[in-house]
Amino acid sequence: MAVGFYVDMTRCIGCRACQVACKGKNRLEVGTVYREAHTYTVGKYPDVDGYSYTFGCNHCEDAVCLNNCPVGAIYRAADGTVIQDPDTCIGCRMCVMSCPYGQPKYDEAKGVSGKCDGCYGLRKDGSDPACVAGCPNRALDFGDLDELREKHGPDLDNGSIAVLPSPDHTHPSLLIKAKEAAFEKGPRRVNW
Amino acid sequence: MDIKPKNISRRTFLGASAAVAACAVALPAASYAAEASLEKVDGHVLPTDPAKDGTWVPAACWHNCGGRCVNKVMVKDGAVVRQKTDDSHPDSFDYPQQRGCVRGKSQQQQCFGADRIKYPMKRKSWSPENPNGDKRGRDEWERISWDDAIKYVADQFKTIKDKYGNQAFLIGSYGSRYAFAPLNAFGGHTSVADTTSHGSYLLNTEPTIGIPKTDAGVANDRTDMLNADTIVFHASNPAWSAAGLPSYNYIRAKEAGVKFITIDPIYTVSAQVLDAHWIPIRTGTDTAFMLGVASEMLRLDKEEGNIVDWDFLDKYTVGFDADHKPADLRDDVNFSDYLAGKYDNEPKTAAWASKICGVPADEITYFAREIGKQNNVWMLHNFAAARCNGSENVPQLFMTLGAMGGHFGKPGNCTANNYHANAGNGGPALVKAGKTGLPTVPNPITGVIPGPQAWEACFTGKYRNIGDWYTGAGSQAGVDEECDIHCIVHDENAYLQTGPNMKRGIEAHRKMDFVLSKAQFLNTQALYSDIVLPVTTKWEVPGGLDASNREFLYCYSKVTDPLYEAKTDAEINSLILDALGLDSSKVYPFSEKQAFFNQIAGTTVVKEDSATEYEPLVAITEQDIKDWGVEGTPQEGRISLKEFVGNGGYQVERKLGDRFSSYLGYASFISDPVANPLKTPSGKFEITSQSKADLFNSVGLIDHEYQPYPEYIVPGIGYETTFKDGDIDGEKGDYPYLMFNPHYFRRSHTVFDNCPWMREAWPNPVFLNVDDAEEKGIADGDTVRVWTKYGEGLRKACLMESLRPGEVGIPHGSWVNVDDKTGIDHGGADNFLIGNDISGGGVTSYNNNNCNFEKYNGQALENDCDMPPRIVELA
Repeated sequence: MAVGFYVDMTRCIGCRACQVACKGKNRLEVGTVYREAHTYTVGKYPDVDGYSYTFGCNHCEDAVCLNNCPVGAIYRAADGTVIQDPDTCIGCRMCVMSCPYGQPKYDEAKGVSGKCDGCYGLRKDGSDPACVAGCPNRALDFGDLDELREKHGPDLDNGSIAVLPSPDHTHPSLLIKAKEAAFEKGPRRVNW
Repeated sequence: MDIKPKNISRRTFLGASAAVAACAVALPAASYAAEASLEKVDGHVLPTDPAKDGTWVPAACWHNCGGRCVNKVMVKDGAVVRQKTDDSHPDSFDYPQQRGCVRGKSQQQQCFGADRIKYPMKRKSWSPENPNGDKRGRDEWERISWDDAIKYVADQFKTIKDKYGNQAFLIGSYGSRYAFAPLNAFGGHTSVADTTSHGSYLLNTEPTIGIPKTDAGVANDRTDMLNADTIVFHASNPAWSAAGLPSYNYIRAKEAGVKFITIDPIYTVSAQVLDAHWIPIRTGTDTAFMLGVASEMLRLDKEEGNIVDWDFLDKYTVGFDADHKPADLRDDVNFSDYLAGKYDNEPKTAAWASKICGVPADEITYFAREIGKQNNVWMLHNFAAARCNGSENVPQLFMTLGAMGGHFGKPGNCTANNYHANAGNGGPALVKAGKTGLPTVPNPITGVIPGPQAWEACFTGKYRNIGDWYTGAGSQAGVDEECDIHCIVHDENAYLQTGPNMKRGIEAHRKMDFVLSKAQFLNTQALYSDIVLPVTTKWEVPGGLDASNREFLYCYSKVTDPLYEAKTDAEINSLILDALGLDSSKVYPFSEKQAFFNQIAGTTVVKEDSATEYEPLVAITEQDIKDWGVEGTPQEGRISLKEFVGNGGYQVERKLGDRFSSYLGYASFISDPVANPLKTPSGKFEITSQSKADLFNSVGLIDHEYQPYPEYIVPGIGYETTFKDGDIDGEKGDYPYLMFNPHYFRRSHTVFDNCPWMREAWPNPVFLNVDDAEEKGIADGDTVRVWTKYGEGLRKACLMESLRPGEVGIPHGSWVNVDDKTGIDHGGADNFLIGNDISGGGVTSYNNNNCNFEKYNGQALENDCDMPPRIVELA
């Protein structure tokens, strides 16, 4: 069984509501983000197209963070969620260094790493993850991948857009309703 | 000044909020619980929700963003442990949840921020005898008691009134004439009128050209946008400046196949998400662009037919051509002949327009065809184009283009603003808040200074009163008046930060005998004050109602008791009134809770079987009145008081095709223009308007004779002045770039600028075109110095292909942070770079200023989120 995020790039405005909803729920200080959104353009003025994308943990099928953790602090729940246990973490940062998505984040003050758990606790109580529930444009969803495909249509990308590393490494549990421009090479991040 | 970070790192928010006695529970670092009975995998305890079992409270989100979305906070053991937005009913396009934006999600850091002002405080070297004004913004602060603070304030008010009269008090901000009750009751104060957000749409449009003030309320119902072929966004980026529901409605239209066109110097995120066709325009040149479009519509109509809606022009407008001369017109002029160049030998062709506005002529032709009468078009604008020098005729021209295409008052067609919660959602509110019943205290002083003249008038004592747009009768014939300002009060405004000419404003503050601020943080106003009174946020008051879009009314409740020694506005004002020897009970005759209750009791909702009749919404029982400890009368209603307050308000359920869907702007005028005339002299839209020309000419700020038709106005500052001799074909001048101030998602104007999560999420760079920047050796993230003839500031560079070359975007509202040694602003404040330019109609020149920029050779800027918060060390 695999669970993960659905990202609708045709609705994402790069507003970062997901980022702050996540920080609020996970009580994260400045310097640590488990989810972040960015805007990109392709082309040259005035022939420009653009899109936004929200990055987070992809709860990969081949979770290298999990595989590389020397103390078994990262584990997979029965539903497929990849979860990190800070009580077991020794802060060696193997997960941080091995994830191609740059996701587990090392918190210097606490001396341990942390990551998105898909708001496991909230979901067990029947709520959506904070980022999903907080998206003003309903561009995010989370759940069983087969169910997400059924809900959002068959033509979804599994993470091959230009701003992500190849999905072949870790097989992310990720479904993207991509904008066409998202496959163009050499996107420029708009750092506003 | 003394803003010492000491050992307070950026991780102050959580620690400090936990330190607040009233909310002393810190969350565990992550969502784990250790009970052995919990579910386990490989020996790991699975995450649970540590914030479980708290109480959700609908919490205010009250800023001038224009949205009023749902914010709920979970309060557990007296602390706020979680925030969420609307999940009160299943979500659909027809009946959407009122989900809030990124800013609302950081509201916790507004209320519980480590940088909250905790106690009344006084600038150390200020005394009634010697204000030491030059030390404003540089001094240390000392804690004083509320008794001392109120005594200082009352004594200063009395002294200044005795010496100089009430005109010596100045309050800024757009609604300032009725804002600060104590001074109004004490004899009044001089006010400021600035065209702020709405620019030239404030210049008495209703009685002159026919559109309502700010072009509000005349969009069709939101569901009607599905009937449009095309939706035009002129100078409008609702994703940032109308956050909340509007973007979601537009996404629905896009998914239904509606096409979007954006006219903007930036290919905005709104445009990106809606796959809009981009017409990249120079800021402040919209008049030229629209004149070119009108000419092209006429040409295309002649050559291809079916572009201009002649029947509409004939029936609903005057002044388009010689056959439709308005009765009051003094000279025999009309719009068509102006376009043809009859009056100035300059036909306003696409090529003529292109030279000024920078839009290629074929794009002007494209747009002219797209808004022709064969298409159903929603013509929407926001106000950025109207906040420019020389933008007086933007409203008349936008209306004219709408009229030429016949895009008024029929399904799939409207011409309106695209503003705040009502962006793309016209029509009367379906649920309406009741009144508090609090009296309005009139301000007996009639002096109103135009925004760009306000700070200079503190030195010269002279200004030209040209009217009061928000709290008065609007524009008026200009009158030269005098003032002698000795005291500035910042009540619920941020005018030093949000108004123009800030550098001069700081000097004006330093000249005063006394400056008073109410504040939650050491914002720009507080920084340059003598006494700062800590005022509560709306999370610390009993509650209130806020109008949102037409189908939703928000009701927020108290989240926490006032933090530290903060007091509510009503409490502070009452103390000042009493200390002035006035009777506070005349201004605040009942409690804040009673005012909240009155609002709820008076709330009405549209009847189940009507689109125009209303009935009370909330049922109130004897027991409710007793429980609330208020006075009132029981009443019948649709939902109980408990339900209304618990839900956080009320939303009218909508369905496609329901009885509200048919709302069309100007419907009665369109159905019978004779029986339901507009408020213009002719009763119709005036494409040539004598009253408009007379009004503009009476203002008397510049030497330009305004015409009844919407003529091109060469701006006093704008694109032309980026050239040495004002000649577009000539050599570039010292300030060769156009500078504009896009509303930015970190903030609502100035609010939220200090919230750490917002500073991290939205870094607030300067927007530069890639080629412009690279020509100067500037790369993404480099520190850039931007300067105008008024001031200079630093920002990190954001290089964009999606920004027109020649433009420099300084995000609006960032708190100024002047380096005292160099005079350079490290905060990126837009208004520190803007001066006192004012257009002939009285419009503040926010969006077409001139600047230059270079790679900064000094020390690179830190990220804003890594800079220490302004935590005041009290002596």
